[in-house]
Amino acid sequence: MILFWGRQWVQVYNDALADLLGSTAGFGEPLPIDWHRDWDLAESPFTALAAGRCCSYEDRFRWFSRAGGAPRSSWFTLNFSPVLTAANEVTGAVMIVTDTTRQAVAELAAENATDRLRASLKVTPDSIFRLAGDGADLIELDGREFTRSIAGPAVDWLKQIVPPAEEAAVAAALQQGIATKRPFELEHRIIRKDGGIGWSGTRAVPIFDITRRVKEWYGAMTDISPRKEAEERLRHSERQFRRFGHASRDLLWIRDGHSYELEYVSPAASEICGEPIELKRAREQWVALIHPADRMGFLANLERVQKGEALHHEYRIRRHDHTTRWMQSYDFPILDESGRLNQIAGIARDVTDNEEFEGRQKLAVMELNHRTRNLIMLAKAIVTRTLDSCDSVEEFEEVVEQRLRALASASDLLCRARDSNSLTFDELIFAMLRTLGTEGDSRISLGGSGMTFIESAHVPTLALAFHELMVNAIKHGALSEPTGRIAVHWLVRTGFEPRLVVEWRETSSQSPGWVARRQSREMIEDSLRYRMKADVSFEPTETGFRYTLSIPLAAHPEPDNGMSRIVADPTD
Amino acid sequence: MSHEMRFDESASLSGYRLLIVEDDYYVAEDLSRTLRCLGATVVGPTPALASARSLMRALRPDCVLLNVTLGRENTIEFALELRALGAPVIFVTGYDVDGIPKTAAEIPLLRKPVSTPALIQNIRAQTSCYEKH
Repeated sequence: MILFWGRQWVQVYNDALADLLGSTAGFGEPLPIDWHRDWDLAESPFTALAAGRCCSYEDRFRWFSRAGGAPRSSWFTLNFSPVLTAANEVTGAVMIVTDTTRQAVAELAAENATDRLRASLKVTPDSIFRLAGDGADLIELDGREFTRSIAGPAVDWLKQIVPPAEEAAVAAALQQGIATKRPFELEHRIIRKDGGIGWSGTRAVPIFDITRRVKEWYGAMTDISPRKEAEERLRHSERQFRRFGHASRDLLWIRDGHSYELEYVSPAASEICGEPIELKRAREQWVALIHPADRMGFLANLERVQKGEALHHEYRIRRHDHTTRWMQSYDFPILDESGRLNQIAGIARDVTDNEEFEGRQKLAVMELNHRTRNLIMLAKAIVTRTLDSCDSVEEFEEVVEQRLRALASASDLLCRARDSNSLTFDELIFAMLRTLGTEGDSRISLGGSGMTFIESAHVPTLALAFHELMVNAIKHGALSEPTGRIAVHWLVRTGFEPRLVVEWRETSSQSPGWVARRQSREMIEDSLRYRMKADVSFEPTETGFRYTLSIPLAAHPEPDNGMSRIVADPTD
Repeated sequence: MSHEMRFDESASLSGYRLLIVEDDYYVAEDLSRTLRCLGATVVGPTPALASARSLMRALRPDCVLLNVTLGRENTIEFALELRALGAPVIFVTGYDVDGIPKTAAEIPLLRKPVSTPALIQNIRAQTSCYEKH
């Protein structure tokens, strides 16, 4: 309280300011003429006071330094009353300043909290409900888009939103909450607004009255259907996977893509390995079980899978009793959604008792050996005839080396071929160009279908023939001069007897004298006539020569897994 | 350049008429050449069974050198027929004995590549043992 005296409004009592400001400066002095502007007042209250009127100003805000501290937001209520003489003349005034800061701040906070609550209720898609304290009556349910809305009071509310099978569980959770006066929550099925069944995550908190009695329950129901359905799908597929794993006689496994630790292994593993496979110590156990000779290859293959490759491989398992099992495995990477390696997995089959496998292994090895011996025989024949045709050791060395390289290329082609009719003529001609390093030579033009298949059995002979043509072109023909040209065209002539027709047209200033050489003519003509019943013609032209080759194609190429050349089943 | 036969082998198959049934031109030529150098008369060579049969009938060779596979054909049946007729047959093949059915196990088998002494010895042995009958 401050007391002013006289019409000059001299402060005659202002001790209270000491509490507020930390000093009573201004005592015995009038207020500054414009002090009221500090309070954001339009005019000085003393005008009204002088006229004998009271005035008051509530919750005026100002930045205010208390007792010399930093300015803080503050609120004050100002009351002014005139002091009158007996003759009703104004002789002074009383100003009462009340600090209302605390109250104002509390009110503001409450207001904000209410606003926030209102906003949060608006943004959440959850259903909001209120229940009576004893849980029996629903006061109201705002279902939003999730459930139906119920304007209370309603007693049978549970039946309206919860499927019968779940009613008991929800009621039990509610009773538990009521008994303990503590918030409760549960996940349960719910009848959606559209009548379908969904999943709700329901939570409610008690609201107490002043006597600590629960006056109502305030709660929300959140739509958790997508999560629940995803979980259910996952559980379902997991169950299915385990059932498959359990039923499978194959060894199914999944490892962590980085640590190689086993995360899953099917029960068949223990049976195949002859000892129980435990996930915990499976890593060491597993590696120890791989046949030592296959271990490096096995681990190298796992590394390839880890790098993203899917592959078939074979390895042996050596059991404790020293018996060996042959495994055929298909291993593959499992990537996460962003394409990064997550796990690696495999399906391994014990093929030890598989007679077909055993027989096939044996036949494959035998066939390979047969092919190798034929190739050696052919190489020997080539060496002998080269020896006959060469005039010097140097020439022999050069020619025989080139011819053996051509044979090696032919062998590569045969190894790559999946069956006896899957090589194409363009593969052969490209391989021969590569052998002599002429694949990019602009003097050579090639034209023909990439789907012209030739029989594997004919590959070495054809390879040697085209090799010979090319070598001679390099030495004596078109490729020995800058302006020479070679055009190779091939096609399949269909009809009663389908034939592969190849034309080699060479243009150069040289006479094709080399072709008269017996051995070259043999290699490009006789050898092809002998086995393939080929029609071969060689015609000199004004500017070079034209060589044409026409080979009957197998009318009905039989499907062939590469084994049909086996003449005898060793078991009969 | 030429490679010479050793003297003591040069005429060792003189007077023999030998049929070569082999589908690879170079191998057939190489074998023919070797046999000619040893003094033999070569019938064929032929890459196919049909012509082998007619050569057999027409020229009555002393012995048949037979590859086991001719492209997609195999010659086991043919070899057994020849044997039943009393004609000497020798397999010349890349397969080892395991690759030949047991029914044809009595037919001698030379594995590729064939050594010249083994060739001479087998041809002589086969023809002499049949001559006795």
